Amino acid sequence: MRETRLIMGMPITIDAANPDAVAAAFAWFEEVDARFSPFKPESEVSALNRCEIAPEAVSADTREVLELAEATRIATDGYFDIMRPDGRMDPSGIVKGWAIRKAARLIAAMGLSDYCVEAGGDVQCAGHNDLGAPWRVGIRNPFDETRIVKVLQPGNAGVATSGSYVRGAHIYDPHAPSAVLSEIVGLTVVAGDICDADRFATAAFAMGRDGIGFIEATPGLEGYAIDRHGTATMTSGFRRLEAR
Amino acid sequence: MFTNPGSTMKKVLLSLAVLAASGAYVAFEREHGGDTANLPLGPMPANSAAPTDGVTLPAPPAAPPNGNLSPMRLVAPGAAGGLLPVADVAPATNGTVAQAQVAAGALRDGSFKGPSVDAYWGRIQVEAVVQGGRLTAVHMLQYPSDRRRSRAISDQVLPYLEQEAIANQSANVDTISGATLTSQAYQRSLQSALKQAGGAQGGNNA
Repeated sequence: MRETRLIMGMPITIDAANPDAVAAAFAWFEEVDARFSPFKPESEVSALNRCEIAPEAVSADTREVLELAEATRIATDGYFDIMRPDGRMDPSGIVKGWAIRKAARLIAAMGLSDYCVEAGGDVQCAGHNDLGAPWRVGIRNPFDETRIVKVLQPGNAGVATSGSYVRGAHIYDPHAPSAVLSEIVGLTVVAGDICDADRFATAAFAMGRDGIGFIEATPGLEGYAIDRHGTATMTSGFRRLEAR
Repeated sequence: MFTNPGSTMKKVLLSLAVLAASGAYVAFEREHGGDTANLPLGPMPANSAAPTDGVTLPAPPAAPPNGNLSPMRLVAPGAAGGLLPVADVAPATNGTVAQAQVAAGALRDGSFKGPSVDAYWGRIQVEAVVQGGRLTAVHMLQYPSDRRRSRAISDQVLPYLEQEAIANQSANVDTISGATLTSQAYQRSLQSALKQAGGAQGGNNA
């Protein structure tokens, strides 16, 4: 079965054969939204930003996310950073991928080996679709949201895309916060795990033209970067992910 | 899994080549207090008596097999014309310090400043030291302190990655990866998604 709900301000689609697993995954996303939304005054993140909770008193989930964010900041030379220029924390950039990863694990723990979880353009899939075929993941055309420019058959993998046609400007270069990131308009990263694909796509996108080189040099990642002229640059192992 | 050992090996080799190419830059950072303790160094200088206050030159035989990955690129990007002497000495007119070294017999002793050039990842300027008709050191006078090492490294990889013009595909897919849409596009996507999911309330969610 396939079901879409609007949670965390984005459509989330879960495709799995077991309705209980689908329901459990949606319940998990609701829980994540309640805890991590920077827009909900009662969320843990909002309380942290108001300094109402000591950093050492946060929940296990929040600690996990903050540690993951810090590890990513270091691994990307600061290009990934959940601290905004105004000094407040916005973990949205890491929560989505992390939440998808946990939802996928939740479904797998219920005994399913065929599922696909998609949230706001980030995907984790495993096994096959309901027709028994490998999951086929399209890459959206950054110049035309109704079209796709690539079809991947990534196997058990996560696929995440960062782009400049985002709502607002939640992706920026922390080394030059005012810089306009216009050279690359879309960067798709494939990794075994969606959380890795998502956080490194975000960081590499902030690197501009150099981002795809960073993906190439990082083991376990493949990438496809589209520049504003419609030219794509891909990593050396990317072709093998394409659907035939 | 989607990665295979061949791909990993290729990346490792490429990374090593890149790191070798970055050797001079890394050495420079080390001399100036940069945190490079856990980075492998590139080729070591051929001349141990070379000055220690600048970038020493990698030994030519240690250069990566791919000629385009010249270790010199980081200290003297060739596109801008190579080194320009401050005195009226015959300059190395085309390309890199490495090429200047080949023409060692034509070099006059002294220190020569290159132009400040845009190396894409930042502006750099070098000073070449010639002793005994040989290039013995390159000092970094200006380097992109606002960029970090990973960018310098990743930039070295870029010229070797495959490119193509994007083209729309008509194939059916199960799901789509893309950046978060604008609010209007997002609304359209949401309606489409809810329609596919069999919901009748597609119009009023935001």
